[in-house]
Amino acid sequence: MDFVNLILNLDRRIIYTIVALCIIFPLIKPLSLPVVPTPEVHGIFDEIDKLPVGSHVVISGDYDPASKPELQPMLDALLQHCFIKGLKPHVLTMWPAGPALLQQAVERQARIFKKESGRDYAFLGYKAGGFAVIVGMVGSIPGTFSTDFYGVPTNSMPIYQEVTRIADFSYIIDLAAGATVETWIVYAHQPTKVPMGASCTAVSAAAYYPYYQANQITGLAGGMKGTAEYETLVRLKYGKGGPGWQAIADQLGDPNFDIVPGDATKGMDAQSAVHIFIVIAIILANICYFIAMKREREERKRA
Amino acid sequence: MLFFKRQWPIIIAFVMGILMWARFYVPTAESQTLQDEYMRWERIIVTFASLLGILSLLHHHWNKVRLKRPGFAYSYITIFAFFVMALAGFVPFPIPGFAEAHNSGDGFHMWLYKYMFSPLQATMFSILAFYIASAAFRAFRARSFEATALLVTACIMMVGRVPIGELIAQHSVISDYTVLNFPKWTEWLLNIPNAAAQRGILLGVILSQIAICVRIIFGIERTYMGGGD
Amino acid sequence: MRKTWLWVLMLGLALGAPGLGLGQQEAQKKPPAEAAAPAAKPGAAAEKGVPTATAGGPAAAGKDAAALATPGGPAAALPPVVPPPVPMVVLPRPVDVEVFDVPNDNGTGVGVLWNWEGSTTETTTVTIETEVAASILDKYRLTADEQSKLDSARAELAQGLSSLTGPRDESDAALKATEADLTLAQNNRDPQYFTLLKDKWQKAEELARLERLIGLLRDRYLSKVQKLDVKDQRFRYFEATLAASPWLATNIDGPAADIGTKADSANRFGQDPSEAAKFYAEINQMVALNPAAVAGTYDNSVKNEYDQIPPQALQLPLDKNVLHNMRMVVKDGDQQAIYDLGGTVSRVNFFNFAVLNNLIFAVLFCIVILTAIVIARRNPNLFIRRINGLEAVDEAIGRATEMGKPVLYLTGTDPLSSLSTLAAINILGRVARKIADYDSDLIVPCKDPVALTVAQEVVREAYTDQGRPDAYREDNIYFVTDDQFSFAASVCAIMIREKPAANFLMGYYYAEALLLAETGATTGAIQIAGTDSISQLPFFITTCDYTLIGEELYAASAYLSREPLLLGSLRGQDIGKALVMILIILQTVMFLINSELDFLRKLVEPL
Repeated sequence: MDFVNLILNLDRRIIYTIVALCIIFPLIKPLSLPVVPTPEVHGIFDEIDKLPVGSHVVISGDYDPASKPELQPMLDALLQHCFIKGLKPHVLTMWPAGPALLQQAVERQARIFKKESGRDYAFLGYKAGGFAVIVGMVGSIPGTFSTDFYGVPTNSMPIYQEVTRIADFSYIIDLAAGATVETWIVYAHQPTKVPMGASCTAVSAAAYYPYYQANQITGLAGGMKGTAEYETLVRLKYGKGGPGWQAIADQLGDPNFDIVPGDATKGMDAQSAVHIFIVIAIILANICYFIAMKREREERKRA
Repeated sequence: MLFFKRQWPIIIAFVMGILMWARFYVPTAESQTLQDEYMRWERIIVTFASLLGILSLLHHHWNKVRLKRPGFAYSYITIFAFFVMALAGFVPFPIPGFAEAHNSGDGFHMWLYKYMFSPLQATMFSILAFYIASAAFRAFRARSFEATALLVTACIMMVGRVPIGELIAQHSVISDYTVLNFPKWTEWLLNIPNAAAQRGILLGVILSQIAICVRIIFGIERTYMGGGD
Repeated sequence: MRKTWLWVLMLGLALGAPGLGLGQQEAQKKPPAEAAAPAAKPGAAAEKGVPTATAGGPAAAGKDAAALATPGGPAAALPPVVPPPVPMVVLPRPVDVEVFDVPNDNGTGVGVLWNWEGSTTETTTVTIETEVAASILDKYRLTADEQSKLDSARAELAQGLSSLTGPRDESDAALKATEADLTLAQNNRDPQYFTLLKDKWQKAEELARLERLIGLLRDRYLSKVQKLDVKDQRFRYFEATLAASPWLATNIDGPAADIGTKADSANRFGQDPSEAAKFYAEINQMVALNPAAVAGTYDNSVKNEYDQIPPQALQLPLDKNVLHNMRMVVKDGDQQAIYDLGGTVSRVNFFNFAVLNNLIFAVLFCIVILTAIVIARRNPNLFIRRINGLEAVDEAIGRATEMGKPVLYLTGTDPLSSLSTLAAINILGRVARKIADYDSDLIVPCKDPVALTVAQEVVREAYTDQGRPDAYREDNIYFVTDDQFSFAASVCAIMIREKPAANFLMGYYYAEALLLAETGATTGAIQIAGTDSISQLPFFITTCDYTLIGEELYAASAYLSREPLLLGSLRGQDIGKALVMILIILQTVMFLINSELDFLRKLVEPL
């Protein structure tokens, strides 16, 4: 079997093996490829960055463990950003498999930035009902979530003396593995005009560009790349050497405070390697395809 | 009796369909209450339906085990896993002496979720990476004009959406002009042709969905009752 | 003849009444009431709305300094110390004020429009207050019976709590102490770490148990008297607030810079309203304060006798069908001015006129579809273009029969409430008829239990219609799981084990689409997919032999059955689509000619 036929009939398992190597190698030996933020991700970062201290932000983490690599780092980065800016995030989910993941991120960041549940942030957990939950929150959040994730009555929490419904918030962001972005736009953003952003899996990102163009969302962070861009923005501004680092280090009383590259940024090296392999493989396959077609035509002419 | 099987569901579908449609145009608090109540009832009904599903699952796998159909060993595992996970929900404390170093006190159910279910879900999702590679390798051949357009677009998108695309763009600048500006091409593809195509498909789908709703409300479409038109 | 003209005139009046301004919502244009004269006394000026500086100003300061000079004495008096003039902040004033009932809302909204005379600064704050009469207390006052019922429930709750709150607080303190020790042990890699960890879990469990018991007590209390409790709370809050002032704060209380304009409220004024730069505030809540907050003693860490931190303020909707008088308080630093805005009655609106165009289009579209159905009944031979995927259904089922392999049919991963799942089940009925005819096997693993029951009925009916009720196997249509990737794993396993010759992937899919399609492709099955999930279409197109894109999935049932009702409906939706396309093209052309010609766009936006 010659090279052309070998490529055209390449066993899937060889492709899988090469893909596996392309993923594993950059994770062991990082390539540190630069991640350049796009205007879409800036749309989220800048909106949150310009909010005054004490503003309230809704973060809806509508994903499950399957989408964790793409969206969990985004939640971490958002919480870092909110806590650095002195904003008050309210974290919830409408996916039943979500709370455990959200809890990990919320508690981790709250510990680092020394924030108190019920005063500096609220973790509301999971509520069934889809758009009915959002409609309820537009009316009253303590009415919809009578307790937070930890069982504390929301009516008694100091944070809900400041805000009680969606219209009181300054920003909404949905981390969506499914189709919840449209639900938030229709039931929360449209009636209350609270600005909104979306972070989604790479596969769904293409579907949300019409909403971004229609300014129904201020920004869109698609897939792991979008998350890596957001992490980069937070790190550039508030990491060591960044313009906002000193203030947060003083606030925390920790001169060694730094924001390290997140999981999404680390994953971009592997993603780059795999993408380049696939492109090279496709080009190679097409070259072999054309050679094979040419051979076939010549054989037919001879015949 | 036939009335309750044939006409009654159609009457309910008509009345509820018109009511919920009209509710959209009525901004009063009572209208909102109607919607909230409806959603609450829907959740209750779906919960009962889940019971039907569980019975179907157990019945199917038990039959497979009983009749020793091919693959019945997997049915044993399914039934076992079903009962372990369900019963673990009633164990709100960590089992003493079991995986103590990794048990955060949340209970056996949470342990199963964190250390078995989550990794399995993540594994299934990660298989997609391999499948995309093999599907792209097999399917992206320049057989026709459309296939070529698909192939070229896919290649541009794949390079433009990773940092390497930015690197290539930075290193392909000739006289202030970026020759291989993958990120810019990607942005254009996403914002213009992709958005236009998405809108077009969405428009057609939404109109079709409205047509189906009209058919259901007026009793022309009766598939939801089971048993054809 | 005369009578006809009379009827025409009356009809014209009836239709033209809105245009003549009859039956419009109440609106008052009233300049804000100001102080009658410039400040005679500083205190009076502050109340009435003229901005005040320090009392007296520089002249007074000079006078005071002179008064302080030592009388007589050998040394000459020191030169008077003249304090630097305090810069006067000129507060902006609202002019051209309109107060009106907010249209198209649930009756609790009052809108205020105004322009500023003068300019606002970064520190200017605006509060709009509403006047509430003392008679509101009658609404929340408890009767004697209600009061006694509430008191006895509260006594019962207090008794229960008295035995639990103490141990709960102790348990909470003990847990915090253990957590602090645990952190220390973790940092120092103390071997006591695991012992402390178990101790922490036990304490957390104990605390959770006590919190649960307290929660149960409170739930029992609320189940008995929640409405009375809320009523009593509101009464106390209103009583305390009204005792201080009849003017209550509203939801408009913050920086002037945060107030939007008419242009920002398209849902109220449409896309291009006149005087778009006027500032707009929508008041729909009034704020009643905690008695402790009114007295200045509120502490948001102190719980009440019911073991809860009472809210500092209650935000309640404005009353419907009641006159609301409004006033605006403008502050900047120490300066404050109050302006009377006027009032209006907030009425319940039973129809949201902002979406009237939506209703008209929806009704028109329904009429088009129903008319097309009626026409199709008379002329059943309607043309429908060829859809390759549906033409291949027979071929796929035939292939399965020849190979002696089953056909696998998926109805998507959305529940039955999703229209794409309904469409998939519709197609399932047609496919099941053909399979019954060809005497092949059909496997339908379902992700939704409700869809399962419908699918079973549909397939049973299909087999019965084809005269093959004996061939129907209920076991082949079963529920798998409602978890996305577990379902995908199970279906992939079915494909690899059973090796179906034909796979039908109909309905809505998420990330598992490629898993299913690629696994099917590896088994060599012929695959026909149909989805309206835009993000999954590329995966189906690359891995399946035929793909129904978007609305082709919804057209499939009409295509396969050729029933006049369904074909007519298809024709109707095509006409609707054509009208939309014409609108889009016309508007695009008009906009290219002149950007002001966008009335067609306005037709489809909120009015």
